[in-house]
Amino acid sequence: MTFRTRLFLSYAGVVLVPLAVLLFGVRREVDRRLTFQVRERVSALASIIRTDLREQSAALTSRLNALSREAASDNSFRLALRAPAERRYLLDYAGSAMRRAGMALLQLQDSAGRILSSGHFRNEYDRSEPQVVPLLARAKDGPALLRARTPEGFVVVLARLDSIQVFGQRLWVIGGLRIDRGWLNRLYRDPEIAVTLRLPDDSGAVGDSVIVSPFSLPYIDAAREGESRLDTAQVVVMHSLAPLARLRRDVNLWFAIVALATAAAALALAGWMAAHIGGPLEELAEKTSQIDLDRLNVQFESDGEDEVGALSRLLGQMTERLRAGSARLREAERRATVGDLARQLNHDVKNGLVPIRNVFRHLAQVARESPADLPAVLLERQRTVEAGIEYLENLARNYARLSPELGRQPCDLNAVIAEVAAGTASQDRLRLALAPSLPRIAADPLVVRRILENLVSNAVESLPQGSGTVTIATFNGDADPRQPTAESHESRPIRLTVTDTGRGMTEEQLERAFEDFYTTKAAGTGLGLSIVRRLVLDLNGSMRVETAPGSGTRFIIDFPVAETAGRRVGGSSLEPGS
Amino acid sequence: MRARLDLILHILLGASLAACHGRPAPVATAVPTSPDRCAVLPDSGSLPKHFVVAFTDSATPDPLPGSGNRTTQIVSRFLYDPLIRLTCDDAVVPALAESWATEDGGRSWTFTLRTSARFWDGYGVRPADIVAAWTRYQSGDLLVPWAGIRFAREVGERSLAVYSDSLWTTVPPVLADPRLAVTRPTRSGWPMGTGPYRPIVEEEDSLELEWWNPAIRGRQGLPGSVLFLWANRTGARDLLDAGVDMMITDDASVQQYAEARSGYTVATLPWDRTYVLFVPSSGNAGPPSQTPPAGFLGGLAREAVSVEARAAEPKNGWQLEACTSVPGFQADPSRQLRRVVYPSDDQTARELAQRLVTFAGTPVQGGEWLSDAFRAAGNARTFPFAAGLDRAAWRRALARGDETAYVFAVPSRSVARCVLPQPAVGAWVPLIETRARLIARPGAGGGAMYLDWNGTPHLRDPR
Repeated sequence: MTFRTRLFLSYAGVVLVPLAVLLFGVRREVDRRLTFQVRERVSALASIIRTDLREQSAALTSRLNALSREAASDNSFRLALRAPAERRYLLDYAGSAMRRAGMALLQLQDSAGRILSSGHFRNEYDRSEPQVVPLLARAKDGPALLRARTPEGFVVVLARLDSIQVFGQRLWVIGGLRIDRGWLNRLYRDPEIAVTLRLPDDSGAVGDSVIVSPFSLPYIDAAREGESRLDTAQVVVMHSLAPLARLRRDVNLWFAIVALATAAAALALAGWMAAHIGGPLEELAEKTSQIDLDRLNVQFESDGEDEVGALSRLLGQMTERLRAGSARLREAERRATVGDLARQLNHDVKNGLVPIRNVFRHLAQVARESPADLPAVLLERQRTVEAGIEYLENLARNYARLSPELGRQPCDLNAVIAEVAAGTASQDRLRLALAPSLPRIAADPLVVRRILENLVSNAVESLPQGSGTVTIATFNGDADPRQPTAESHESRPIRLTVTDTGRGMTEEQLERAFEDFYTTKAAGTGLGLSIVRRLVLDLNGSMRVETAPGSGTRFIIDFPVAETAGRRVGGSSLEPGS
Repeated sequence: MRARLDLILHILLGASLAACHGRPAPVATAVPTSPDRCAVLPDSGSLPKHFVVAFTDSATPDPLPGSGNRTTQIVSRFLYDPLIRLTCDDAVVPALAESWATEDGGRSWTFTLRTSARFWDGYGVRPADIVAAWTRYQSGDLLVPWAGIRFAREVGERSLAVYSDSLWTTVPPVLADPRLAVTRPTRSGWPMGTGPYRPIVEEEDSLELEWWNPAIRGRQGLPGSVLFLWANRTGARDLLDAGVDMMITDDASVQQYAEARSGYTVATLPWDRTYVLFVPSSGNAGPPSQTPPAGFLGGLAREAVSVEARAAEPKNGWQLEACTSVPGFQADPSRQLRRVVYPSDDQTARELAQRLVTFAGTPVQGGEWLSDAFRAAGNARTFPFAAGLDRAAWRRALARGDETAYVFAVPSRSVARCVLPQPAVGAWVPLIETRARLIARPGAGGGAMYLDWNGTPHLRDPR
């Protein structure tokens, strides 16, 4: 994670978390207060409506009393009750009285419940409706609702009951004020509030998104089919929670805006901080990354008074110390290299002289034991001596160049092995298993010989006294069944293995076997295997070792195949002169 | 509009005060009392140039002349012509046709159109226009089933042959039925007619007509324009006070007011409209009893309506079976029967419907009979409501037959075999008959009103 990202996240966290806590708190408090206020308003409105209904009921009672007294004192009305010829006056009486009194329902009934005159349903006369009067009488203590038929439908009214005595009989007067949506709407002016009348047959449920304050009223359904009964209706005052939801949405919106602004500010601040703090650090890191032993001239000057400036100066001082140490190290290394070279030269010369010495020892032995054979033996071993001398000459040339460029030429590996085997003193322990038609490898034969002499010498020296063998084998590509390679046949390297049945190496010995000057022999230089490894790598070859204590050691070396066509040895495609 | 009406009232009031000065008390007169056998009132002089007639109902444009309320019928009498007319004593007089003859013993009649027969836009009336107008009634093979007209065809430039499905030994009086008046449909408003007057200004509470034919304008001493006013019952009294030339109303209280004040003569018009209850067949029940219990209809006439009414009697000329025979009619079994419907422009029909809906399921006199009738229509368990429909909707409802019952008025006299405006399957019961009164300001044209065979008052025919 970058320094800039860390800064941004830190700033954002520091600001946004408290902001979220603040929002949660504000929202919760707003919810609580507004819900409380809404409940109070709804409750207050319900109380007002209840009071208003009582007042309306009282006013209706007064109007009914007035109408009743007026009817009782109306001579035409009284006569129409008794004279069939004047009945039309009676039938129209309730209608005109109802309109005069501003009512929505007015009905005159005789004591048996027969409708004598109806204002809301003029032609309903003579119909019998005996249940309504007793039911209204039961609800006389307060306002009651009555649902009645009209020619075109139904009407719900706030109803009251009164009576008059005419001709010794009681006439019931039922009056009502319409309770409809318009009447309910007049009770309030708040568009967020709805007042509805829920009758017993209404099945609609009140939604969850409103706050409700219902109250009950006695209810008589005179328009139902069958017998009427006293029931309960509810006036429901509802307040929508939509404003609260809108407020929540607004708060959320503003929070989102503030959060975005904060994030943007944090990003900008992080960028600024990164530019002023991270920039010098990045520059310092870049300079530091350029430092190595070959390049210690990186400049770390800084005039800064801050921590970065101090760090830069410290790095500059450290680079100075490194520069001095590096110079001393180079000198020490040069000296060590000269010493190494001398030791390697000593070792190589010894290796070159060993076959010559062996030839002369052999000649001396022949001269002592069978002088007559000396010329023949001399001729036989002449080539060995010449090869040793040639080796020493090449060695001298190479060292003369100090850092010789290895010659890469097609080299017959089997021939070099034969030469080395011929010069080996313990030939009776040596076994050759050379692959026929072996392609030439790309290598300097002298270098290959140095590799072989070192490996064979070590192998022979590792054998126990009087037993054991050393096997030199070559393989053509995948001919080594134990060590298959992944390359194609054409590109597979030529493999050389030197296997002894000696004492083998421990894991620790194996780890250090290729170190310079590491040896387990009393008179060893510790350079043999390190030279072998270096030479193999110089030839672009590879080498590995399989060993175990008591089980001998096997060196496996893969040489690259020479690029030239017709490179096989011992086959029909051998190059001329090979 | 209100300002315009106020101006008219002021003019009428001034004229009334001038005319009423020193006049005798009004007299209710029987029909007809004039020396002219069809005049409503004695002729008291020439008509004013601008004649104002008020009604207590309103007229509404009707694409089917003769099917509206009484006011619409009277207005239509000014606007539309059938081929012939019948006077109050059933004498045949020319209208669009000036002559007629039969050459096959009465199977067909050939009518020759007047040369002056023209539509309001000046185009001459051709025999094909008449056939086109009648085509609206075509059903099956019959051009006008309810009139017994098989077909009609043009036999000359001004000649039309009308073929009957029965023998007409005299000129067929059914051709005087106002439903056979010749009209041409228009996009809205009143259909194009051929009558002497045409509408020029129509507003919410008035309709002004003008004598449109310049060739005979004013020659017959007839008014150049007629202004019809529609008033409610309170407004009717105001119009009388303002001195309107004439008022035609069936409102008994307005009649009483006119009789109580001076300056007007009240004439009683014939019992011209019979209100019927039509209960459509449900298709799975028998027809209801067509005989309501004794006293039921009298009670309706006496108490349920606010107009002068009497119990109706079956009319022999109606030939009810011809109205109820509609081959292939099948009532929709899923219909929702909740209403007793009536034409909304007919106050008396409304009052009757509102009375009838109280009877269903109640032990009032007549209730059982009415319940049986409603049950026959498939509505036995629910309270029906009364509902007013405009004329077009009401006709569609009648054609569908999907209401509990229908209450409406038909002419008390019919020259057609079916008095219904259209065939309908079911049972129908005459309920009450009503009549109107003509209240005329003497000297202002009341004496120029005459009666047709069906009791429709009209100005003297100038042709």
